[in-house]
Amino acid sequence: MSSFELFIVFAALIALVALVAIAIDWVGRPLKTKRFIPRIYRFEDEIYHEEPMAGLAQVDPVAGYGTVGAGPQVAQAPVPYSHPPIAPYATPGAPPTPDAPPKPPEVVPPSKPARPTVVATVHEEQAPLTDALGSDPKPTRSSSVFSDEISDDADEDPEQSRIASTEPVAAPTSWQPGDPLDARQNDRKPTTALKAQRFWQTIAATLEADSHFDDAARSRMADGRAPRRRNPRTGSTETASLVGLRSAASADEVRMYWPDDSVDPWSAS
Amino acid sequence: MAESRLPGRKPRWNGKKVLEIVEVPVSDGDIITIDRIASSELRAQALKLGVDKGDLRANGVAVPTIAVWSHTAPQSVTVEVVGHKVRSMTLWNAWSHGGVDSSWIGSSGIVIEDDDSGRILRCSDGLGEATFDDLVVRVAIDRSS
Repeated sequence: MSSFELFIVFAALIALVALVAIAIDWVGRPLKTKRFIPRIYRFEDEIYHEEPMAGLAQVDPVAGYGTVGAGPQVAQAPVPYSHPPIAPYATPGAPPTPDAPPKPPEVVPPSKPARPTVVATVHEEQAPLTDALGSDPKPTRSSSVFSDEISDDADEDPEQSRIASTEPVAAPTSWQPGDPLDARQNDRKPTTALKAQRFWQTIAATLEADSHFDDAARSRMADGRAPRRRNPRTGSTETASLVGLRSAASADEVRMYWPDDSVDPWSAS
Repeated sequence: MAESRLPGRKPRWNGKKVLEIVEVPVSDGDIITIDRIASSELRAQALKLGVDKGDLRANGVAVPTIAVWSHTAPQSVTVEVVGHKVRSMTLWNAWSHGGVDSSWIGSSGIVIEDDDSGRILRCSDGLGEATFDDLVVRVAIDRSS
């Protein structure tokens, strides 16, 4: 591809990206006038009332809380808080005077922010609260059900002492002769060489006492290596080979063979 | 017959030498007759023949190496040597154990005995004690010239 064609392709990609950006902006334009009003108010003074509370700055929940994008907001000058006038004490039993100024509404002081509720724990004991600086030199173990620490208390109900078991997982046992050849090791599929090693080790473990393999061959197979023999015709050392190993899951699916080029003229095949 | 022996094996059995292979000089056109006298019933036994150059023709098949198995070949078979450059033929025994064609391992070996009709090869497979009665064959060579 020449440089000119490359430039054309690059320009087309840039144009495509620009079109996508324009489309996103076009779709997102009406959202700019949307106003976001939080549904949950934690504090009393954030809850919208029809009658303005005396002494408190009226906050327009529509315009006061973050609006997305531009939009004319109802600008209100903040009203400083002033203590309401104290009503005169009424005499007990005396009817209220008609000319008496209207009883100012009760001023409800802003409620203190609610303390975050402590998570319910199963145990009566509760870890002492520490400040943010963690001045407690010896932080005690949390006995919350959400704790993942093992509790040393033997009297605790083991079923409720923890949600997730934190007992040490027993180390996975290594492969043993007789196990499947394709057993995973370290969560990995065994290689063909490893499967061959396992095959020979399985054969070595299942050899009969009067097998035609001598001690040297048995030792080799126990080490995971193929047996060898000396070819008296050529004088060379030959090693047994395997067939069907790649897809085999057990030793029965694998066949070993010695190098041989003889032909049976009377065989059916 | 030339002889070759595996190291570490018993060199003799009943006063006779134990061999791995038996080498016989042959030439083009020679006819080898193999009569199977006895064979083990526990597993298939074979007598294998191979030439250095050329082929061996038997049952319409011409290949350099032939295997005469006890479970497929007739009791008496004839093998023809084919090739002008053939000089020698090698004989050795084999057996099938677990579906594996094996030779020259374990207690395997060949002991040669002579009788009036030819040479008798007593073969032992590699399993168990060597008794040299796992395969007993008589081999006779009819020279072409």
